[in-house]
Amino acid sequence: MRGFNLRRAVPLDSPAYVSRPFEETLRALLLARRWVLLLGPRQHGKTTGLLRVQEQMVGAGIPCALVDLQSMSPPESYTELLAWFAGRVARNLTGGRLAPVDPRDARQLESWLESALPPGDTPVVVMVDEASAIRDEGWRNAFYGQIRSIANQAAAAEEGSLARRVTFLFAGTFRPETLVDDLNSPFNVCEPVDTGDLSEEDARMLWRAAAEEGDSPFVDRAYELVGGQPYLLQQMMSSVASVDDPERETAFEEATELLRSGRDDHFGALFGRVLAEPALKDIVSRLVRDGAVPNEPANRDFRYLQVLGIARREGNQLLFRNHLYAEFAQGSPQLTATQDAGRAGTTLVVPLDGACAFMRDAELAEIALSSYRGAVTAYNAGNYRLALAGFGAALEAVLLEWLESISSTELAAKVTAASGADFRGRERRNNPATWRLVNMMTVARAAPSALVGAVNPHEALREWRNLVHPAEARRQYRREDELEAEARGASALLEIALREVARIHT
Amino acid sequence: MSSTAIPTGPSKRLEAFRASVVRDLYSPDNFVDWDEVERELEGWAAAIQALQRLIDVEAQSEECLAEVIEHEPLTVEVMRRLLAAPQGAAFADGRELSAQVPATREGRASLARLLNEIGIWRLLRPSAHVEDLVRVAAVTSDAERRRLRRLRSVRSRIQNLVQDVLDTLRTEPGLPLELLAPRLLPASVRRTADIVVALEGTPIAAIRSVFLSSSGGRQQREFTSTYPRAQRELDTIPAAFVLIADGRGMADLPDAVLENLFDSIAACLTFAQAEDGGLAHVLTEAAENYGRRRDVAIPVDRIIEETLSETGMVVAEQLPVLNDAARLSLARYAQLHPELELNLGPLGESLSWSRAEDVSRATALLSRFDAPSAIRLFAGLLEARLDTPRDAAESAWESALVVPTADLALPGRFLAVAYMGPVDESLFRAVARAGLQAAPEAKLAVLLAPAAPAWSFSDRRRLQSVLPANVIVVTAANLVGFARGADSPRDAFASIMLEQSDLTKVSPYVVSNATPQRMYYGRDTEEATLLGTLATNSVALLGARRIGKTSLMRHVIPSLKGANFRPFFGDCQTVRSWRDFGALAQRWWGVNLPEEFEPRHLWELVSRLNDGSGHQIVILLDEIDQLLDWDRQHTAEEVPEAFFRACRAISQEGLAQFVFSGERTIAGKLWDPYSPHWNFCRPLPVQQLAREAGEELLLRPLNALQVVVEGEARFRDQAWKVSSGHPQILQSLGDRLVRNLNERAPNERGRIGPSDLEQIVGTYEYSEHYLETYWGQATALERLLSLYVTEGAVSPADLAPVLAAQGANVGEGVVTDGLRMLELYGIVRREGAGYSLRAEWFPTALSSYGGVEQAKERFLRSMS
Repeated sequence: MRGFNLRRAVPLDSPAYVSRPFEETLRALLLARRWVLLLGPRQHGKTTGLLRVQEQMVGAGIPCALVDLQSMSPPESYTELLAWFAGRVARNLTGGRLAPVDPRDARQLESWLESALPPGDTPVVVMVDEASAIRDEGWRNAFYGQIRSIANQAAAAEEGSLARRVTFLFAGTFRPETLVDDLNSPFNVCEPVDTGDLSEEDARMLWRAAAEEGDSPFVDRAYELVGGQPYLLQQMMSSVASVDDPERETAFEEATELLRSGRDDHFGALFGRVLAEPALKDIVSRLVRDGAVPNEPANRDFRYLQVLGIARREGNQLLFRNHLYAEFAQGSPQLTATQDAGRAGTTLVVPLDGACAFMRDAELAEIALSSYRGAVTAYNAGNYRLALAGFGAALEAVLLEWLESISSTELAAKVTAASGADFRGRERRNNPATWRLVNMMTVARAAPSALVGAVNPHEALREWRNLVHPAEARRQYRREDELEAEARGASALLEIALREVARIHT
Repeated sequence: MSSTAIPTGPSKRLEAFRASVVRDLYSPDNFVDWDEVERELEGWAAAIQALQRLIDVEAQSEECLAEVIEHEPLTVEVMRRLLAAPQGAAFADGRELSAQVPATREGRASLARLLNEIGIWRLLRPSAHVEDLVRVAAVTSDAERRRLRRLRSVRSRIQNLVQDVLDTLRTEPGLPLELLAPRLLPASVRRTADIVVALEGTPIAAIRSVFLSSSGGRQQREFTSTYPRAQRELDTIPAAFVLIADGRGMADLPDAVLENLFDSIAACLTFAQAEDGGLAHVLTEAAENYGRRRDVAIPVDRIIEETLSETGMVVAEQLPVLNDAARLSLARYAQLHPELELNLGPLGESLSWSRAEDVSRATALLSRFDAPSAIRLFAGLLEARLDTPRDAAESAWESALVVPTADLALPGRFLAVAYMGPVDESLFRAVARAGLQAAPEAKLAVLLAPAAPAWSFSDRRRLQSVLPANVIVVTAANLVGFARGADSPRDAFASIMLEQSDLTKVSPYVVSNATPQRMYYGRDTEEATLLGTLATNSVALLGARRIGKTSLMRHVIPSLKGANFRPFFGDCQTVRSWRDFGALAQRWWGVNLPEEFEPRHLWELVSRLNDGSGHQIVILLDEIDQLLDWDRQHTAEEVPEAFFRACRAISQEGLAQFVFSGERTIAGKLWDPYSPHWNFCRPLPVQQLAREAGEELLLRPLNALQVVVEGEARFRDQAWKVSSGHPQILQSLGDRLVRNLNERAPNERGRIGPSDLEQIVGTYEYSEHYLETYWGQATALERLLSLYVTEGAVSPADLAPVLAAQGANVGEGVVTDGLRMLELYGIVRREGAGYSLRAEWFPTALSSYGGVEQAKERFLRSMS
């Protein structure tokens, strides 16, 4: 078996590869010197495709640079960002030679690009992979605004000038309309291209090439479940291919179960983005409820769900991209709003990096996020006691950060208004860091700036954090599996608290 | 089987044809489709009753008429029929007798007034019987359907006749004739044939039926050009072209046209002749000769052809016939070959090539291919200059830069390579790379070679698709064709380009960026207004994205210079602060200004830009909205909006004028009567193109690519309807057409028609693009308002309460602002106190998403 490529771009010389229609589209557009925006889900073969397109461009005589913005270390300044970018472009185009840039132009991308281009007037292609990876909003806007400015000049620029020579391609999984200011976005002057799923025949070809075997019924079964999602398909095929025939049924079932459980971070990353945006969450919840949602014209949320890979359009309806995503979403209490929701055995979505980014105290944000993630992992593995502890810790971190961020006057007012607060022992009324969780929740609910309805758990949930203590656990003994409902409720409570505190913060 | 219906001699043949022509084919039993007339009347029963009641009982007043219209909307359709305007009508004063019943009371009153003015009461007199009137009107409408009934009847009659003839002939030995699908014919004649008859699977005859109710230039061209050409194409199979033609138009055709037709095709029969055994006779003959026409290769023609090829000229004396006959033969040859550029001597005594010298040189290349000569000849035919490429080191071939007059299909310069050896893939790749180096922007390189490679269409297409430039093979035979052909060599070369190219590389349409000069059409009115205003005032170009503001700004710069202005253009897309603006001024105009640029420095800027010539300075700032947002949020020395205020002061002092372009922000400032900038500059809306310019934008590039648009009038109508003149939508449409052509075989790329447009417009993606383009920047409320406008003209005063009743409680002022913004986006147009739909395809586009009502519900829900 040659092997599958699960978490990296497929090397150029690897035979375990099937070409994708979008590669041909990219090649045609770039040869026509049109700027391109390639959007598609994560782990969908974008980088693999770009590597091949780069090779074809170079083969055709057009120098082509591929720059992965994710590989950039956080720069200290905008100038450093531009220098790094130009260096990467030069590495592909001129063997790394950069012409000197006038210090007065050091904040101009155009100057840096000119320094990185080979001499002459032949066209060049610059492909920017993971285009959303510039974290600093100001730099990101400046960077892409300056690229847009190059596009604007093209219509009237002189032959041989940078604006006429360079063709850009941007790739990633992002919302082009919000990544940078819409008015100065280069994405508006690009031809959009989608990656598209593998076809059933592609899946069979991939199997034959990577497993070095003839057709297998497991490939068709995997396709039935995950559609043409390259990463998920390869996960399943790889599991099956790694064992001998008699064990393949078991391997297939285990691989299916693993994916269904959501333990693979593919699901966390994907559904986490949905949960992070109420508009997306609403649409996906409707998908869960109705099976299909009428597509809306000029609605970018609908478009983004297709870019993310969760949904696909069929006629004028939006549907889940594959059965597995549908099953996963149906089993997630975070996406089901019906009475049937939140049944035992469901799967929670691991929160994204940015889930606690609104918190101003970086350390508490990190504590909240890691506790949250640990809780979700524990829940999905069936460890509900640990999950309860994790959710409790995360909730405590969120509340503590918020209560510490409000003014002392306001805090005093809230404490006074919180009639049920009972400060004992080392708890100090003016220092939330000394409070028990119960008091934090009570004060949080009090006016002014009350978290109305957000932190009001049932009595049974209130002391869950203590259940991790063996003595406490024994005193109120419940079997592990019986605590699933409490853990599920705790998850929802934390989510509500995160939403509300984030709303107040912003 | 033989026929007595068709004499063989030329004069008798004509006489017999004329004698059997019928002028029309109607029969009393289907002259009027009474069933359909009565069905229509039934459908209008309520409307007829309402109108009858109006004239019997109520007063003949506009008020009463408006009420009747409100309660029985179908009355409008009935009255349009009575007025012989079933599709409605537009009037010079802007009013419309539209297909839709106005939604507002005002609109209905206005419609009643219009009907009164047209004279509806002259029909609806007190004593009139409305049903009878409407019945007469319905019979008039039925007259339009009569022609279609006749056409269907003709087609069915011929189909049955052919089937009968084939059934009869099949009973005879050796004649197992069968029908074949026309698509199996060559593409060039496919559309000319209605029915194809085959013998043992091979076409032997193509039959076309025509019923000509009148004769005109276009119809005559079909008989003098289209059908003879079709026969010549069919001769290559070979197959006979049989025309069954009748009608008044045929009777009126001049003798000369008919005689020429009889000579040029296998057979031309009237319906009666065909039914009287003529068709059976023709098909039998075609079958016996396997489709060959008798005497098709006339020996004299062959001699003319050979002599022309050999010597470039043929004189009457050279032909082995009497002198008069020889001169007639030469004249006839020239007439039969309109595709050749021939000179016929004044008395027909000689025939020669118009480009005799080029033909001679090209012909010489056929026998001995000389690379430098081939390049010189090619450039000469294109009337292009030759230049030396920068890097001509490749010694295996001869090369030169060809510098023609650039147009929408031909680049300003491209590499031509002449190579003696065989053409293979590696040569193609090498030529493409050399072409890229020599003329990077051309996306085209020409390979002149003795012969073309024998590649399949798919192989050539695959190869072209991976090359950085299309490599177009021009053979010695092509050069001969260019030199001999009636088309200009430039057009003939463009046709070859069309066949061989990867068209995605050469599509002239610009779908995502500012339009270059070569694709700029229209905007004359806007440009004139701009030039006329700038002497005394500044201007703000207001329009949606992708509507062409930047293109207009860039295009007007030479005109400004010509009118003694000093224009300075600045792209403010990346300008997000005053400081950014200072940097822009330094970068674009070379003016050194303080790094911490502030609005007060604008005076310094203007002073530096002034060269003392006395020419008015004009500063054109594209996409100003971001800078104005910054300006609004910051103050300089406690002055709010200091930048815009400074511009205003400079403009009022006459030191410089400004041209701004923007969208919502600047429009908001200029429209708000409470804004200090309310009357600062003249707002100039940039909306859709005028119809003529819009059509040019779509059609000219196609024509330049040598693509013929069939059914052009309908094509133009449709393109207008589905775009309303939005330049980006038109360019996108053109680009899709070119991409679709790219999927076709080379010989099928030369023609498109309304069905190609329909195919694109019928896709979900087109609706999506249309709505994204028009609605892209509109707010939810604005989108909702546009949905109400799709149902009929509305005024803010009417609409605000309707919205409130639906739970969207916005004031009339907000509705007015929203409609005004929709007007800026070109979705609606202002009409009196109300607004009507301008982007007329909107409801159709929305139907892909469930329709207007569903969309309304969605937006109302989101706003409640």
